[in-house]
Amino acid sequence: MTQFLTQSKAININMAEPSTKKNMTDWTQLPEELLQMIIEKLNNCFDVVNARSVCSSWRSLFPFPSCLLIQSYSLPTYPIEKQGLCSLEKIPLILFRVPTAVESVSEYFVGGICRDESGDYMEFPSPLQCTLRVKLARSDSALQLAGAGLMWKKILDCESTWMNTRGCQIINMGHQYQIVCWSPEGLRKSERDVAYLELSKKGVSEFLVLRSYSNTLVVFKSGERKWKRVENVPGYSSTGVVSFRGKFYAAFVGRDVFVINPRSLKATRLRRSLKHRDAKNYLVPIGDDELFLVEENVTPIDGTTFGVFRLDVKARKWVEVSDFGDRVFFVGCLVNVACSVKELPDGCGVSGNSILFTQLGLHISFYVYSSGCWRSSSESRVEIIVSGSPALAFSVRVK
Amino acid sequence: MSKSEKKIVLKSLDNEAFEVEKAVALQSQTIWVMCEDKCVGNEIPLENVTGQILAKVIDYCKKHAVVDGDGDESSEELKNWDTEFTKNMDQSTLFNMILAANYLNIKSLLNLTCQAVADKTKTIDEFHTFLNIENNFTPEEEAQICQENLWAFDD
Repeated sequence: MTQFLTQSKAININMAEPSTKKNMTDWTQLPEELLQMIIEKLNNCFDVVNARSVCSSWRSLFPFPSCLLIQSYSLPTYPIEKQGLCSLEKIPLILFRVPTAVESVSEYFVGGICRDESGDYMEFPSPLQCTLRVKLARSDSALQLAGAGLMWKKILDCESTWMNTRGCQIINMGHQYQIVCWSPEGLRKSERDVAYLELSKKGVSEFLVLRSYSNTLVVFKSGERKWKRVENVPGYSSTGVVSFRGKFYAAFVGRDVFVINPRSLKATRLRRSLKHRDAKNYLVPIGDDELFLVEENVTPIDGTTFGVFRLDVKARKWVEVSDFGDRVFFVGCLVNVACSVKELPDGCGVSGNSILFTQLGLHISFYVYSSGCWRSSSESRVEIIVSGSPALAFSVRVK
Repeated sequence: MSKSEKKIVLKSLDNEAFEVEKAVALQSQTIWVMCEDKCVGNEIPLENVTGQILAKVIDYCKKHAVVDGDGDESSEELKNWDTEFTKNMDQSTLFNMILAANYLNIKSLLNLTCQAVADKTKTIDEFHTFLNIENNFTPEEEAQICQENLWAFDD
């Protein structure tokens, strides 16, 4: 018996030896271009940030992902804030899809992200790991998230949860611009009704910022370092400003969308052939490729109806469309954005050519085009958890 | 053409010989170039690949040669086979498979093995444990990284 044990032990040692050697494979010795290939295959930008946090050679080898860069540029205060500090910030805009314990339900978060300076990283079991703090206004949502089976950690009276980016599907939606103002007392205020564009003339480039505030539109030119008011636009509040192909566009309640020439600041009304005078307008640019306008009408007879229009740049008019491809539009609160659904899995309840109106409690489904108009989709049910600041959060249940 | 001309012998670093169909071996651009070179006979020495790894590479090439040849097997089936193929590979095997796929210049295998590593390493802990990489940051650097990796929605 003793002999048998000794033998088996010896065999174990013999077998273990090569496997210990195997474990000594030094991955830092992998040729750089092969390591680069692996990093390119990581799912998302947060995985790359994680890879940079593995060891010092990897940190110098892999550049910080450009889609997560945050840029800030200081601006003179005007016209609202007479004192204090003002800056333009460019922050990453990200969609997070979080699977929940219930297979048919996913939660989504859409918003601009920044470094979290309020958090204490020492609280985490693996503090190097990329983590996102989600602060929600409603505590029941926080509880719901806690059931998601991920690394959620409730702190601050259920108002804050920590989300490990690992369990999420992450879609990079570009950047968002905002103006951040600090009062002399140190109070911070940010505005998102901001559009940004860059111009270059004779090799000299400058940037411009269009800001909508109260009943005015003002433009800042970096070359002149001055704010100027845009004339000849309606004297009431704009519902959204965007930049598209080197020009600014501003939507107003009712029928009007104005295009603003960034050099002359001349504003021109875009021709439209729409049915309703009191429509709500949402401008949705797809990079510099296409500009869409979503129109929401409330009439006593028809209830709420919708129209989607694409800008015909040459003819300078809106053309009604029923198909805008593999994208979902989020319009209403926060920002009006389009997100490609190509990366989302089939059957997750979010499909292409659909619109979600993000006002709290108003709509409980995506709108899809069928039989001649935009109708509430019966495939899934949406609950808006948080609308607006700091993020848009909603859950989708597939029926 | 006689049957033997359709076959080719691949010899590993540790002198293990594998007789395979030419069509299977020629998925490697490196072997393809060597075969074009008239100086090389029917036996191709592969100085950078061990027998253990070469056997796996050949398995992969056989599977993909068959599928490319008759087109009967669905791409779905092939995908599943690929997943199974890399699923239980340990990090040392994956490391050597990547080097072999690169040396033999088999693009699809290189993609597959790199993807497998990317899939197995999502958290920093996984990088450290699965790939056996040491965290060599100074405490100051580490504190800076921790702060950098904390994100929040901007209010």
